[in-house]
Formats: sequence, structure tokens, C-alpha cells
Amino acid sequence: VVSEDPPAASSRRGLLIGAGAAAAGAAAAIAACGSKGASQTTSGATPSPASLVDIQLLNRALELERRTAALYTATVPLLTGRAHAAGKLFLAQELAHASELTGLIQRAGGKPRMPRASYNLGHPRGPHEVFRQLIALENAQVAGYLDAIAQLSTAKARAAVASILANDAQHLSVALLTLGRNPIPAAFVTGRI
Amino acid sequence: VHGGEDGGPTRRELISRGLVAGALAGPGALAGAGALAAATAEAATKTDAELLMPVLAAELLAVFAYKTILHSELMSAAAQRTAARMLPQEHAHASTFSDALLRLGSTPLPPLKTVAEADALLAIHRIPNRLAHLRTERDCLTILVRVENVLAGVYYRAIPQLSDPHLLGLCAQVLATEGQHACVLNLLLRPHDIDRAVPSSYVQ
Repeated sequence: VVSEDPPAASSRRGLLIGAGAAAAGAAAAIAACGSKGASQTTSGATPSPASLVDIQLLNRALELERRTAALYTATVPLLTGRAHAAGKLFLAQELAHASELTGLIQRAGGKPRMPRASYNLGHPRGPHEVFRQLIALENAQVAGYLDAIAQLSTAKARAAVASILANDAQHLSVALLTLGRNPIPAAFVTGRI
Repeated sequence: VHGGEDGGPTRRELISRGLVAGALAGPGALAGAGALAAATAEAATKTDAELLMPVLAAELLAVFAYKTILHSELMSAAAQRTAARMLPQEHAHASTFSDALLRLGSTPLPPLKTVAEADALLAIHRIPNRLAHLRTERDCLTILVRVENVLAGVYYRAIPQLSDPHLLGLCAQVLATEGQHACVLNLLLRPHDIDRAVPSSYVQ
């Protein structure tokens, strides 16, 4: 079982307050230390508070993408046939999402969070348990993106997140089909099924 | 049928459905960075109602296509069952965005009434298949996949420009649903081809 819960949803207002504090902290650090004083989440020049919120939201999404990619990496060898082909394809797609998010974070002036050295993914026994776990993680990703999308400040980031979350919803459909469940359970995908 | 020379709808009627503009704003319709930049700049000035009109038009086309195809009974029981699950979801989308347009002070488009009207819209969206020429399950699934791709495109184009966060969230949810529909329909067309069912890391 994955060791930590996905990050809790936060309002943009709450994040902006935090971002404002981070920006103030970064400014103070710059004043104190010259050019070396940058926040841990930023790459150099202090981003605007709106960009800091984007960076936080995108870094949370990146963490979930990496966790999901880790699960695919660990479990693809356990799968056979169509499930194996799907797992391999979806791993490549999750890695593409992580790369896209990394680019968005960097363009916002942020530093992508470093991947963890390892993820505690438990010991799923057999394809059914693997797919149940994948469904839980894909759902968490979809819900996280839906929570973030309206809070993102740039059209480019909103478009990217929308197209990524829709792809994750497709992974969900294939996983549901594999378990013999309805692959299109709702008219409005929420990440909570 | 609404008075086109060939018995189909006139260009004016199609424009009133918001589909000509929607189709021309698609990435395939414009060549060159300048044209793309112009289209983006134009999109940036659109109101939420203007952005939702092509969304509703595409949903109404989807509803009509699903109804026609289900009525044709050309598909196997499994495909028929799957499409029958999708139709009420398209209805729900159309109804949601019709209500949203009303709240925004716009007059929602009426449902499509004829196969000729729907086929003319398929042509505008560069879908070569026609509802009037359905013969096989493959014809049916191919049209549905292509309509789902059109839907994904209109949502993807609307999402970055919408100003109302609630509408933005709804459109993102529906983009995900349409992506799922396309994936499942593709698996009915080619059950062993996961690469064709989920062809890209990005649904757009």
C-alpha cells in the first residue's frame, strides 16, 4: 500500500497566502544573502505570487505522476498479455506527463520537486490487486487535476492539465474494463468512483 | 430539412450553429504560426457564451449521431450496450451546457432534426463518413469515434479561455469523459490494439 495519502486539496486563496509568505520570505532571503537567496521551489528570480501558486499545484501533480509511474514500473513485469501492453503504454504516458509538468514548473520560474528515492507501493498480489491500486492512483490524479485546473493562472497550464487528466481518465477506463467493471461510470469524470 | 439547394441545411443555418467558426478555429484548419497566433488572439477575446456555443453544437451532433446509430441496430449487442450507456451521458452534457448558456443570457441551439443536417455538420468537421450511408458496425463505430474526437477538440479549445471557474471545471470533466468514450469505442473497433485506443499522452 502506498505509504502517504495524496496531498489534500487547497484553495487558491490559501495557496496565495502561503505563496505571498513564500515570496516575502524569498525577498527577505535575497536581501540577506544576495543572489543566492532563492526559495527552494524556485529556480532563480522570484516568481510572482500567482506563479508560486501554479508551481505548488503543479509540483503536487508531479509528485502523483511520479508515484503512479513508480507503480507501473514495479507492476508491469507482473502483468501479461493485453494488461502488460496497457501497463507499458501507460507508464510511457505517465512519464510524458511528468516531463510536461516539469517544463511547466520551470517556465513558471519554479524548481520541480525531486523524485523520491523510493515509493512504498506495498505488495499487490496478482493483476487484480495491481489494477485496483492503479485505479486508486489514477483516480487521485484525476481528482487532483480537477481541483487544480481552475486555480492555475495561465491558459497554457490549464490546457496542458486538461489534456493530461483526460488521458489519465482513459487509463482509468482501461483498468476498469480489465476488472470487468463499467469503463464509463459517469457523465462527468470526477476521480471519485 | 432546411432549404439548402440539395435539400440540406444552408450555410447560414450551419453558421448559426456556431460550428463553422468552431471548425475553422481547429488546429488542422489553419496553416502557419501567424494564422495560429491570430486564431489564439481571436479566441482570447471570446465570451464564455461564445466559447460554449460550439461545445453545445458538437454535443447536439453527438446526441443525434448516437441516437441514429442505436436506432439502426447495425451493431453487435456489446457495442449496442456500450453506445446505449454513452448516449445519456452526451444528453447530460448537452443539457448542462444548454442551461449554462441560458444563464449567460444566450439562446441555446435547438436539437438537430434531420440526418441531412447532421451529415452536413460531419462534413464541416472533416469527418468523411455519413449517417445516411451506415452499412456496418465498423461504419457506426468509426463515426462515433470521430465525433468523440471532435468533442475533445472543442472542449480542449474552450478550456484555456473560459473565465468562469465552474464552467472550466465542468468542461475539464467532460473532456475526460469524451476521452473515455473514444478509448472504449476504439477498443470495440480493435479489441487488441491498446495503442490505437489510447493513442496519445494528451487528449485534445
